[in-house]
Amino acid sequence: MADTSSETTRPNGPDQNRQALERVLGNLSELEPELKAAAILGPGRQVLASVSVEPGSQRAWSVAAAELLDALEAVREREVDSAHLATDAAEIFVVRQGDLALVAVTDRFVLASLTSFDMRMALRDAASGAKNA
Amino acid sequence: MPLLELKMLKPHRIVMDKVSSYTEEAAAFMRRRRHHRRAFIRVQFGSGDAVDLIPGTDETGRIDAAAESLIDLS
Repeated sequence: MADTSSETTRPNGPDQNRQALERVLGNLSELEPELKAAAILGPGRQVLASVSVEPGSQRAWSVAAAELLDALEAVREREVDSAHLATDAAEIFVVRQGDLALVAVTDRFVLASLTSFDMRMALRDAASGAKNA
Repeated sequence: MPLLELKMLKPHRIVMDKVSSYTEEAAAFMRRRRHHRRAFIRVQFGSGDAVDLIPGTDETGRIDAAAESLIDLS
């Protein structure tokens, strides 16, 4: 479980910004018990913060998430707002806002609209946190 | 033939009705389950329109591969 301790101070540096994003993801994982892993990607598709991603596989995870975003955009050569993918094993949700993208892997048969809404709200929080940094 | 005998359902018919209704329910459940288990890709663009893609096609090859590796790592 991610650290969800609440701080009242505004993020004002890269470390605080990262902590703020991790807190956002921690809150999201509390809202979504079926969440397997999630990460917030920045403008260069680099992972800004993640939750439940093994430390050893963070690089591979970010590469796969960036590749997924690129592949989704390549389908129609247009900017993707959100995406929902389902396979036999799991589901993947992608939500974008500005330069940030939130990619989450969940168990199968989650409530899709609720998950998308929670992710959208989480990304909005993350975007406002990043703006204040 | 007495009238009462004509109106009454024969016992085996009641059992058959019950069994067939259960099998219909089970078939509907399996159909729904199969439908829900089907893989899909739904993409919504910034302009507001959305597209449903069928996984396993040439168009979605890159997406399928990226999604699979992401799920394997999670």
